[in-house]
This record gives sequence, C-alpha cells and structure tokens, in this order.
Amino acid sequence: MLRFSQLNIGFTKGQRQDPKVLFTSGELSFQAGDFVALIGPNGSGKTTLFNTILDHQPLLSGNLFFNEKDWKTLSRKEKVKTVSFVPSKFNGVQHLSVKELIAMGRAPHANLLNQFSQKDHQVVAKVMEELDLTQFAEKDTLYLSDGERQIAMIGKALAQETRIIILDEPTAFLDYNNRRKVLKILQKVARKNKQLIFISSHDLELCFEYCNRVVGIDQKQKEMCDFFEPFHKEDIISKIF
Amino acid sequence: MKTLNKSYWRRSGLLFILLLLLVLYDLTLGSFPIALKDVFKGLFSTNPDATAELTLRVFRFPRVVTAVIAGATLSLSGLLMQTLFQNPLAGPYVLGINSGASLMVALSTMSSFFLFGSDLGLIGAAILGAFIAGLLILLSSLYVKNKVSLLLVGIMLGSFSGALINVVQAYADPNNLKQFMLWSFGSLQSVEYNQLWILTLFATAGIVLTLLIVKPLNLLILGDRNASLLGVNIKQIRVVIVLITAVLTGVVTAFCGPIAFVGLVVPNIIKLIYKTTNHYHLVIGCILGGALLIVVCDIVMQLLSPFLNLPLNALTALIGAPIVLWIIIRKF
Repeated sequence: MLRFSQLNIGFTKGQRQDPKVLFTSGELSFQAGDFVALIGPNGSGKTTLFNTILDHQPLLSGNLFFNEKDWKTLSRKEKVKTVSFVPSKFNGVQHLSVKELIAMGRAPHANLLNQFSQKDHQVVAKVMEELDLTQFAEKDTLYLSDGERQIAMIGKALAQETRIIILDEPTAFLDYNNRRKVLKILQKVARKNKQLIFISSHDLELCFEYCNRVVGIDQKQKEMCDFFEPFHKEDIISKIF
Repeated sequence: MKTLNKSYWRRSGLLFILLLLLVLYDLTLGSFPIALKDVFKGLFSTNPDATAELTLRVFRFPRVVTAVIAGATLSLSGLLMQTLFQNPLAGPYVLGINSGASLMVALSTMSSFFLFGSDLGLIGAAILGAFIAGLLILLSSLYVKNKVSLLLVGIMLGSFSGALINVVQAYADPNNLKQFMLWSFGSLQSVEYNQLWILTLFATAGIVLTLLIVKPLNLLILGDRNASLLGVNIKQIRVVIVLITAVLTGVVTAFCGPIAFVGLVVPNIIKLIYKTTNHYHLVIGCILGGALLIVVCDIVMQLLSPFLNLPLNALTALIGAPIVLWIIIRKF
C-alpha cells in the first residue's frame, strides 16, 4: 500500500548549504494491516521521516508511492483523507468536549460549512463505542487524564477514516498500563480495519510484543533496517543502538 | 448534542432580547427624552413635521445602530484574532491593528498626500491601514512564538504608528487637527443617517465571511499543525482572517475612532458564558455581546451627559482594563 523507494530523509539548513541526509530508506513496502514500529536513537530522524510523509518537510530525493501513485501528485484533499496523525502530546483545549474532538476527524469528509451526514454521525458514534469513550463524551478535553486524552486523539484519527495512521511516540507520556492499552487498541485497529499504522517509540519491549513489524534506523550505515516477527531482540538492539 | 445546541440558542436568545430592550431604551435617551410609543412611531412613519420623530431618525437611530454595529464588529475581530493567534489576550487594539487604521485616517484627514475626500475613500484608507498592520503582526507571529511577546510586538506597532501620527499632527492645519482629536476620542454620533448603509454593508460582509470560515476556525484551536492535517490551508486561512479583521475593524475605526478593549473583553466573556469552542455559536455570541456592551456604554454616556461628557474611548477603557487584568491573573 505504501512504498518507499530510495527515500533520502533529512533536512536543509538554510538555502545555500547542502542538505543533511540522515538516512536512506532503500526499498520498503508496507501492506494494509501492518502495525509498524519505527525505532532508533534520539536524533536519528524518526520525526523527520514522519514530517516528510506529512508534507511538513520536503522530500530530499527518492519516491514515495501510495497504491502505486506518486505521493507528490496527490492533492492536499486526497492526502488528508489518506493519512492522519496523532502528536505525542496534546494538552487539551478548554470547553472542547471529547465528542467534539473526535468529530473534528470528520472535517475532511464534511462540506464547507461542516454539516455532518448520517454517515459522519455514525462513524463518530462507532469510534466512541470502540474506544470505550462514550462515558467521556461530554467531558472537557482539558480535564482528561493523559491516557484518556491520548485515546481521544486516536479516536479523532480513527474518525478520519484514513488508510494510514501515523503516531509520534504515542506512549511517551503515559504510565505502564496506559501504554499497553494504547498499543493494544492500535494492534486491534490495524488488524480489524486493515489500516496501516506507524508509531515511533522507545518502548522496545512493548513494540516487540504488539507490532508485527519493526523498522530501525541504523545511524552508522545511514539506512533503514526491516525486521519481521519473530523479533530477535539482541540482534535488533545491537544493530540499531 | 442536540440538547447542548439548544442551550446555546437559549443563551443567544436571552442576549438578543436583552439587546433589543436596551436598544429601545437607548432610543428614548438623548438631549431630551422621547416616550417609547413615539420611538415606535418615529421608526415606522415618516412624518417630517413631528420634532420627536425627526430627532429620532436623524440623530438617535443612527447613533444606536452605530453602537450595535461597532460593538458587534469589534468583538468579532477580537474573536478572530484570539483564534488566529491562540491567545486570549489578542484583539485588534492590543495588536496594533486599530493603530494601522488610525494612521491612515490621520494621513487622509490631516495631510495633503491622501485626498480621500469621500466616505468610501476614508473607509478604504482605514481598511488598508488595518490590513497592513494585520499582515505585519502575522509576519511577526511566524518568528515570535511567545504569546506575551507577540502582544509586545503589537504594542510596539501601536507606538510606532502613534509616533507617525504625531508627526502628521505637528504639520496639520488646526481645524483638521481638532477634527482628528475629536475622532480619536471615539464617538457614535459621527455617522449620519445616509451613511448608515455603508457601515451596515461592510459589517454584514464581514459577518457573512466569518460564518463561512467557521469550520477552519474550529479546527485552528487544535493548533496550526493539527488543523493543517485535517485539511485546513493554513497560509490561506491566516490571510483571510486578517483580511476580514481589517474590514471589520477598519470600517468602524474610520467612523467611530479607535475604540479600545471591546475586541479583547467581549470574546473572553462570551467564551465564559457559552462554554464551547464551536465558533458558530461564539460568532453569534460575540455579535450580540459586543453590541450589548457598546449600547450599555452609550446608555451610560447619555445618562451622564448632563453632568459629565465622557468620551466613548475613556468609558470602554474604564470597563475593559480591569477585566483584562482579571483575565491575565486567571490565565497566565
């Protein structure tokens, strides 16, 4: 579904300097239903890769394909219906309820005046039920616990109904129980809805437990290494860290 | 959700009824009292002989309509600025957008460079000034990430245009200077009956445009990045918001002078009353709340006028400054 072809990931400092390449992807392809953990040391370029896919940073070179269509040829509208994003930390907004937050995920599908169709309402209700958020529906997002808020943000991404969901360190600010809970939800979603899910994480043990694929960034060789189940922890750690 | 929406409408309904009653009361006030039944007569008949009815149409009706429009547009531009910059202390006055409009008005009324003799010319100049100031603030916001620092940039922008206005004043003709000084106190009485349509037209245009961008406004509260990943074209919407703010602020500033604090205070109170982030209801609330505040100011001024001539700008600052202090203590 998503294919990296010799992507050069990095950034340009100023206009005259040469771009700094962090790593090259090689040839990698991901299928619907894959739950992929992106691992690597701090500064290795996990966030830069995500930013590149999300169009916040230009692609230095190489090609990114979605269903064999060049990513660059997709319009903004097509992209927001294809990929959704969950930041590692969302602080909540006063007076914004959980239900309203999840309904925001329908924005790319609703019309200019944001009038919801029957389907939009159904999707929001379904997501809330799936994530067990119905009891929090009218609760202010500012006053949720970190775990509840992270799950609500995942709900927003699910309501967006994109084929790809990217989560930047979704477990970074959560306690042990909530980490497991979030990853379990994502694993279930990937399998059931056949969505492609990327997370970046430093919780290696949990990634090995829940993800079906781990992609590491090898800083020395400046390349990406693909690992499949069953994961050999020692090998992966010695190669990446 | 349905019941919630109903409660927002109930609040708007209450504000509307309150506004209507105060508008009617305000119409009876002036240099001499007019009974309420004559107010209705004056509004719906056009008998040129009755003094009361004539006064009503020529002086009071324009004054009260101007109060309603000035309040509505200024508080709406405050709401737009607060959402754009994600800053509860933003507003057209503190960000220097009013000052941009004032500078252009000063140039048009006091210098020979700008011969904007007509009303439309003056409004055009004010909107242009507000738009340029808005773009400058927008540009600085890309570099100045700290919320309080951005306000300082706005204040600097205000001082800078203030200094330029001083230079213009130093060379101005005494008559023009006096006219400009009176304008800068802020007044609701400078709009004549046959000018009302201009004010109404621009205000309506601004309000309709705002209602059309409610969806991106609602998404912007999640921050620029999240909004853009939900399909909002950030660069485009920023310029659109600044443009609408310029129209709303510019047209009122051209006629009524630089009115402070309304744009800052009203949206904060409305958010407190409505407890929502849905801009559809916030926009309606700000229109009603802003109108209400200026109509109340006008009533106070009319009631005090036998003893004390209070300029509008002094009154809004007297009410506004303490409220702003209270917001700072609560939120920062």
